Amino acid sequence: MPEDRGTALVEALPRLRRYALTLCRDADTADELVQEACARALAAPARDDAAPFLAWMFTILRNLWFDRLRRKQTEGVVMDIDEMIAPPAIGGEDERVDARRTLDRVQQAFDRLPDAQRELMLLVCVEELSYKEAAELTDVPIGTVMSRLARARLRVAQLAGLDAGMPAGARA
Amino acid sequence: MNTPDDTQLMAYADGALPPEEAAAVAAALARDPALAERAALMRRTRHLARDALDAQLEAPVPPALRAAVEAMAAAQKRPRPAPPRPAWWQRLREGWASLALPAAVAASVLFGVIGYRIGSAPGDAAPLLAIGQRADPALAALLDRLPSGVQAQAAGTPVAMIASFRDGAGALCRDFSLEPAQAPRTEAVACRSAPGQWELRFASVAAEAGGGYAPAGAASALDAYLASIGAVQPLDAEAERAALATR
Repeated sequence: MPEDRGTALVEALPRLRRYALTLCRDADTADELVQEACARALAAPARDDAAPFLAWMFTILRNLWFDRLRRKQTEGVVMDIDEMIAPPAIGGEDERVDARRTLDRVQQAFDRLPDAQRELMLLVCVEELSYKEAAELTDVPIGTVMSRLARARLRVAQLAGLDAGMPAGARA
Repeated sequence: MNTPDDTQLMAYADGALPPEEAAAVAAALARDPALAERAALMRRTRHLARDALDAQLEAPVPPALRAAVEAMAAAQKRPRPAPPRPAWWQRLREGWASLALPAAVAASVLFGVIGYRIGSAPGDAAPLLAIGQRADPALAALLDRLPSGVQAQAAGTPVAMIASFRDGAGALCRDFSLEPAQAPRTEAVACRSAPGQWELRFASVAAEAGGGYAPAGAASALDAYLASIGAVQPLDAEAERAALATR
């Protein structure tokens, strides 16, 4: 039976928004992109059901965003990320507060990454795409994906203070 | 191996290295605690990034966005034809469909007993259609004789023969529809298991949409079914006659 694309889209909305926000870093723009991507998806012809739906949607979303960037040459994108983040859970214990603080720091570090690194970190670490899938989606060689991603992770570790006591320069 | 570089450490932490290379990295990590810590950091950033960003999934989707997507999906009433859908099938069916189907229909595929009886007084007799069971003799008689493209009555209910074909196993099958006045139109597929015996394989009921969301149409469910049993071309009139005559 053909996939029920409408239902799949509605279910995917939170993840589509997250990816869109990672790309454009503005909540309103992200929602516009998501809506437009859904419209495109619904109008698209039947596709190979074997290809993962989400990766397909990500491609549409990504293309829309870069089209838009090219057209507008963006006049400074507004940062508005806090709106999208659920309020931190109230933790009574110190440990929980610490864990929450760490996550907040990681989130802030993530937000400060260069665009390409931020996107790869979401795709691979969060959405669990393989390096190869991420390379296909972003249209860069897999070697570039890996080196960017490694840099992104070390940068996040550094910005979020995870690497305290790390000897610098363990690089080969 | 040389000291692994950051991409190798990362790939190791992500479990993305082939076994041999992973073993070499593991050996290097065992020798060098600083390296091991760097690999652990790679693993940790992955988990933390995931935990941090998963919080975003809990943020409610703006109702306006959700409503817009749902409205667009609902407006997409007619499902796009599935790739295996043969054009001939559509043409064959359109003639009949136009008799009975309102513009907007929702369909549900039945995998059990179809919920109405044909031509029988309430309470008695088995249903005419029940999936996986033999067709009622009145219906079987029509399946045995009636050429495709012709309509007749089975126990008082109009039956339209749509096409005949062979399934993947070579059994003779017929696509037909029931067009009762008081119940939704049903499209079904029956295959001949023995002379005079027809087994119901598939049925889907078209009903008027009660507003709101319309699931994929009966036609696409049938298409998917036909594709799944390996139905290829319909038999032409002569081949159909010959197949029906062969017992």
